Amino acid sequence: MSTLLSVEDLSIDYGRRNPVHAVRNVSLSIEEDEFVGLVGESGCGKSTLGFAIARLERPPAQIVGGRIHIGGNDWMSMDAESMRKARWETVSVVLQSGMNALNPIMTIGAQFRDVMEQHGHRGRRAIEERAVEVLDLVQIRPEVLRRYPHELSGGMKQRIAIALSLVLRPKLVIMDEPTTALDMVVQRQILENLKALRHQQSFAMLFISHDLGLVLELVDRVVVMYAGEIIEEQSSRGLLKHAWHPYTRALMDSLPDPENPKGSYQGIPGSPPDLHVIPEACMYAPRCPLVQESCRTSTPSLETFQDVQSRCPVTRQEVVDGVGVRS
Amino acid sequence: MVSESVLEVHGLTKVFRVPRRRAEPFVAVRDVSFTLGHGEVVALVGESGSGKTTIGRMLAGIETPTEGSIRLSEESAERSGRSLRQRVQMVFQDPYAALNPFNRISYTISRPIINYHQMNNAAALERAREILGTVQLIPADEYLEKRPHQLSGGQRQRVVIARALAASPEIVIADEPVSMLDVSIRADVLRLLRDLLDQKKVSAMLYITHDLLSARLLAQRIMVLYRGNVVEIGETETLLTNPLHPYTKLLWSAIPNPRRAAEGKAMVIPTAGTGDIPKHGCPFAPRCPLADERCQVEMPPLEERTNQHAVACHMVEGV
Ligand SMILES: Nc1ncnc2c1ncn2[C@@H]1O[C@H](COP(=O)(O)OP(=O)(O)OP(=O)(O)O)[C@@H](O)[C@H]1O
Ligand SMILES: Nc1ncnc2c1ncn2[C@@H]1O[C@H](COP(=O)(O)OP(=O)(O)OP(=O)(O)O)[C@@H](O)[C@H]1O
Ligand SMILES: [Mg+2]
Ligand SMILES: [Mg+2]
Repeated sequence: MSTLLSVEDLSIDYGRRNPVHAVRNVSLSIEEDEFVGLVGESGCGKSTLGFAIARLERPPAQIVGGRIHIGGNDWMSMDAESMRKARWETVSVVLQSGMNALNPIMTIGAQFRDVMEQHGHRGRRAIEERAVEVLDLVQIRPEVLRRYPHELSGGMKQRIAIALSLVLRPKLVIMDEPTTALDMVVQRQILENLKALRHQQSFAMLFISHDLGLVLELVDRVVVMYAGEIIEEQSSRGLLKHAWHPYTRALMDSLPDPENPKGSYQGIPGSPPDLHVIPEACMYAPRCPLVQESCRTSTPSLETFQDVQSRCPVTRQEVVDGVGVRS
Repeated sequence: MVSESVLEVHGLTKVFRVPRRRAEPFVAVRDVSFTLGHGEVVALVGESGSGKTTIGRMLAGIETPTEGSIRLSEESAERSGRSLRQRVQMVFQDPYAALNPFNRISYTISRPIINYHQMNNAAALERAREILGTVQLIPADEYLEKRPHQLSGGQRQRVVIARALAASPEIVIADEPVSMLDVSIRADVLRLLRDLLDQKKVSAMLYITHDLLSARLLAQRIMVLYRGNVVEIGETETLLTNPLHPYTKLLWSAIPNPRRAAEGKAMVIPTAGTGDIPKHGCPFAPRCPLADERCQVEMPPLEERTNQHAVACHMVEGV
């Protein structure tokens, strides 16, 4: 397997005067055919990062540092025409607002035609066949091709946006909260469909979600962000056994448990930090139950140990000492 | 126990006629009846496209019912003279579509305060700050200055909740209010919604969701909708510990559970059936593992089986 996406040291600000440092020094790679999940709480920078990887960032967002390569191509210095072509064909995106990403004055069928024709596909018949094929993957009937977006429920529109993202068989699909609008049964179906789809059509995925439970079921590897930084990265399998960073642990502990009704929805006390001023400290320290003095005075770095990347020296020491490993 | 009702809905039906096409009219909501008691939260759950939002929109006076009646309790003296639109506020499902991109948050929140409470600008802004605090958009002053595109999905969702609260409604229709929130804030927002009732700031709530676990946390009763029909309704714990309708059982089993998934127990989900719903039969019949001929031709009525627990299914034994 080879690396499809490589992001190195990427930083993104909003605004120039008093900027919000929404993404800071993020490095991330995705192998061909690999499914990677990106999780973290509301406002931590997931969408900002996903957008920038697809080069869809718009002012006031600006990439202030770093490199992005996809399939070996420098994604930062590509001209507009190559970019236009690469979008949908190499990288496609399902937006968090996917349900509004559809054009209100075009039928669904016309939107499929539009995307495919812009990328050189011809023949109404062939285009419709492909559209029906991808719609089937998300359990939408072909009749909707003749419908307009306002005649469809939120969940239906969202599934159509997912289908559209797959229509040109891209190498990388970035899905930003693709199933938040969907009911559990449909969500589960899409999850199973995406898992099955991997065997039919080879593609890699960056799956952005605040729902760690969902992500763990789907992806091979999980990247956890907190306040604009990656704080942990490891395989889903590994994470289910043992979360390293205290924030990831809090996330794991607040996973709803169908078997334990009242224990669900614990939440994580405190609120995320202001991203205007980045302190010389661990960003999670104010909320961390394991905080030590050094956490408040120096910025911990992301280090790899036993195939796990984590930004917490305290819990890393625990593992070295052989305590706290649940297996 | 719930005493008097704040809202009574009877025989609510919505038929959409699609112009330009000779398609059959589409029945999005069929003959739905229920009540919202004082201090009660009723959860409305069901799959995508089942008609949840349409019901909510009819209650909030945004959509006109094709048939049926919606009755609000007599107003208390202190609140009289208020319009239905103010008494019932909807927290809209999609926070990306619900906010006008050109307006600052300060305008979005203070406008309903000014309209409904005849406050001056300064007082309205002060109230807006308070409300932003309740939904944890802190520091409020910073958020007041922002426009929607400067906010993340979860932050927008909280603004939408804040706007509904700004009108001081009696009844809140919360349409998927926490779907974009992560666990850390989701718990807080659910608690916030709960507090609104406990502190009597709101008399009743219809909580629309596809998340049975949050429904369990918030609602006294759950109502399950399938293709526009109420198929089961009952007290929360009773319904969840003993779901009667095959669709409710399916919903319950679809909840993500990574630990179970890691054990390699795959889930079998009957697909949404490509066949049409039988004209007169049960809407769930094409997907139902239990369905027999009767289900294809005869719509099961919603019948009470045990105390306050009603189900519409031919295959559930009578009690
Ligand atoms: N145009 C903008 N101007 C200023 N700040 C912005 C802008 N857009 C986003 N932000 C800020 O950047 C941070 C990251 O936003 P982003 O949308 O990436 O979050 P997210 O992780 O996707 O959250 P959610 O789960 O709620 O969607 C947030 O704190 C947000 O307020
Ligand atoms: N204006 C309209 N014209 C025609 N059909 C409509 C219209 N509005 C809604 N519908 C249809 O009514 C049905 C119910 O839609 P509704 O939005 O109420 O579903 P929902 O239960 O809220 O779904 P979701 O969970 O996806 O939001 C859908 O099949 C939808 O296509
Ligand atoms: Mg986002
Ligand atoms: Mg809806």
